[in-house]
Amino acid sequence: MKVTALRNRCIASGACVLAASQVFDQRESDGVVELLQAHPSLDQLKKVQQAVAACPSQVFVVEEEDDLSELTLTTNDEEM
Amino acid sequence: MRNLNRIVVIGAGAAGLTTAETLRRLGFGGTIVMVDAETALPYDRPPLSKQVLAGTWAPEKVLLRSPVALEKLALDWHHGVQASHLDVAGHRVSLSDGKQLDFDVAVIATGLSPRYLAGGHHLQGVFVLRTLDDALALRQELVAGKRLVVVGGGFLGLEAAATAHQLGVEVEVVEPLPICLEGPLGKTIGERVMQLQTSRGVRLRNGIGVRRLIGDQEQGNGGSVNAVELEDGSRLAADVVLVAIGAQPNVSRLEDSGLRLQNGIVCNAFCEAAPDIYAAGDVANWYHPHLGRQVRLEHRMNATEQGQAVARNILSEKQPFAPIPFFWSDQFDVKLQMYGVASRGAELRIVEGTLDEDRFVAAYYEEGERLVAVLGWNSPRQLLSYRQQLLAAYTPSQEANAVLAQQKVSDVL
Repeated sequence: MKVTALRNRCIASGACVLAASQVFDQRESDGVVELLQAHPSLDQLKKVQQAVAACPSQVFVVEEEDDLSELTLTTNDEEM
Repeated sequence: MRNLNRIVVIGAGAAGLTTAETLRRLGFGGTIVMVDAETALPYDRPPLSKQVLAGTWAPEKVLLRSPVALEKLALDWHHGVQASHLDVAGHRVSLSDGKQLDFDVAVIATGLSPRYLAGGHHLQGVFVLRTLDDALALRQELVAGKRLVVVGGGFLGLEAAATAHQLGVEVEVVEPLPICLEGPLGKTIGERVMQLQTSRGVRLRNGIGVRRLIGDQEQGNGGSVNAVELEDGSRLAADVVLVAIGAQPNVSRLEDSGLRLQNGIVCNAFCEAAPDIYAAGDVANWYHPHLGRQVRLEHRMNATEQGQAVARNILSEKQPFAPIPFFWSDQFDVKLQMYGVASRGAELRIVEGTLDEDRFVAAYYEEGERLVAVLGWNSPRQLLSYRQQLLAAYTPSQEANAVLAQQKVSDVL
């Protein structure tokens, strides 16, 4: 499963941090989402899925959601 | 466990869509029917007063889900129709196009409609701001040098005021309360928000209401708006008027359903309004076990959390819904966020930074040391540890849960 965080949609609610605190954090300056790991182990899968679902701002885009053999996270700061 | 085959969700905003999506995520493979009053694809509202109004986001960016993602959910859609009658006992909803939908369970997520002034909305240049179309239409009018009067200094009015001001529009906000946002934020922070607005150049007129809007034809009763008359008879020149005086729950079609309608749809702690009928989002007035009263939140975060809770309660053992309310407001370069609910008499303490700075955290206490809410001013990351404190208070004890489990949905009616 590939998850991309479209950071210029982030409103810094911290919902993702609450759902998966080992994977997500918030930037000190503005609270925008930060990744703690780019390749979390699969035991984080459910939490990451909950983070995606909990975000009130549609920050996370999920691809290859049926491929549960690995979990890859990236950020995108350019999405217009 | 009975067989669930057909779930009807009335309303396809954030709450309705989250309910549907969560049902799928939890493995529900049956039919999910979406009844959507709007014709466009479902979209998110918070950016409407900010990026969409400013023109920095194209309209497509506010879609709640991409068309591809929506396809994957395999929902049966009815667009551009509303529920016209709900037969609770008969498990059937009639639509405004004449169709009838049977259901095993129905979820009502019909949201809100904006309030209007008694008159003046027929004049050109007068807007409300609820839908994407509203935002796009208003955006066209916000040209540098024009004069905007915002009627209502709540969150929506102030966010729109900030957006308009940054486009070079002259903005004046008229608000009957002496202090904007005193209800949700208290006096001190309400005043701090007012200071933010006025220091950037937005004019605030507090303590007075609007008597009527005046047009440039038919002795003021027609044409384009050119002034706002206040209760004292004085007039504010206006090229554009935004009426942002609140919104009311969309329940008019439910009056003969037997559901209890009072400040939205009355529900128990499990968000049930009647057997096999749930409500979620802006329209739901449910019993919050920790706050100990009926609560209706107009928060974007609640749409998601309650939609998820309703889906879980439909499919498995019902859990009481006791979220820590959360909302945010972005005005100018300030990100304001709040967890919890503070009553009028709550004591405010600035626990990080100071009010004069551009970032601080304010905590609200009741009865001495009981933390009830926390507000971050440009301090999102700092709020989480206070939220943990609130969580300890909000998490129901086993005894409380046992009592709640006895609460039958018939208690609601």
